[in-house]
Amino acid sequence: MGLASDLRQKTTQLSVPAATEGKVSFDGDRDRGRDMTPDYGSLGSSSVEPPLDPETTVELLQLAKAGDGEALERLLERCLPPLQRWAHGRLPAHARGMLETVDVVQDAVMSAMRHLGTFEPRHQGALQAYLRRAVLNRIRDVIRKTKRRPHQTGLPEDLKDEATSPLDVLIGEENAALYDEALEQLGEEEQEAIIGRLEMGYSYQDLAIVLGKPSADAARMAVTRAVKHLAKVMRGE
Amino acid sequence: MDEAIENIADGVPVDWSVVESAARCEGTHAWLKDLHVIQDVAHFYRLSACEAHTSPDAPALASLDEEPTVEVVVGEAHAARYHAGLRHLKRTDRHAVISRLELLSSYSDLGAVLGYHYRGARDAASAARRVVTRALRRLAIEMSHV
Repeated sequence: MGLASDLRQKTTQLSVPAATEGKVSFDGDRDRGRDMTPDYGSLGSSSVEPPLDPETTVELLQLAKAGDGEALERLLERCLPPLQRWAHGRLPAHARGMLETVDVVQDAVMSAMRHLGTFEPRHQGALQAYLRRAVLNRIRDVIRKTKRRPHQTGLPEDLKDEATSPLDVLIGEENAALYDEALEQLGEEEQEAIIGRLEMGYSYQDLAIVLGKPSADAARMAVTRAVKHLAKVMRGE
Repeated sequence: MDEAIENIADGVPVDWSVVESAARCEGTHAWLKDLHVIQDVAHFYRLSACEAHTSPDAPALASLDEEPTVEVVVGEAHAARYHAGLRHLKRTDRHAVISRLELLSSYSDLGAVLGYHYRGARDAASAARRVVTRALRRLAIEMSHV
């Protein structure tokens, strides 16, 4: 089975539990009552999340490109849960009504994976960054499309600003933009370090693999340095 | 209780007997054990940073397996509950906990990252301290629900 034709099946398999059991519940009362926090229980991010296998993403990627279905599955298992976590905070509530984060991420990853043949990872975190960029582009498309549509009626009374994402609600739209701008001014590794730990929830052991660091402590120090740099940039120093 | 939480965030010893009696009064006893876990996690990261700082010439560990991780030091079940609690926090709170407890960020730096820099350094740091205290309380509550 070829890579492209295998993708739909793999991503569907991986997202089935999310759609049927605990699912990423972005709807209704749970969201409003609990800070819109998704339930990651069925996304491979339960309380005991297995650490990344030392087998490198680059190796898995090469195998997947050569048509190894198992490698592709392991690659997706590794990439999808953190991407879901990251994407959830960036998708506005009104857009989530139309298309759940799971679908957004799945569509973007499937689309990006079709071009894997031309993708040459230069480091361990390259694939994650590549997929994250694909998801971000997809989120922007969704936001653009939903802004063109007439507003739905029957919105909850407590929904104050429907163009605001959970991220924006939490630290303020302006601060979120400043944070993103500052982050983009950092080097590639610093961005990966911050996003990996603070946004995607990698353990330092996992992050060491992603960043190509020799130890978890080295990964933690990389995040420390990156956050210090980020603070400087945000202060305009 | 808030003072105890601040002490945990700052690496200052906590008088648990006082905290426990305060928790009984406040009805917050359910998540007190998780506050202990949080303190253990904070202690681990402080110690790690300290060791890394004082022994830069220490021989490199042969493999990742030999490295003392938070899972090894505080126990896998406790560490798993801590990580699960973190994932349930709001983004700002998660940033606050990770930055202060794990990365030992100053309140000044944290204030800037959280977007309080426009208030000036002192106010930003105060705001960041309040966010950390609130976030740690929420983390303990989330952990007790895991």
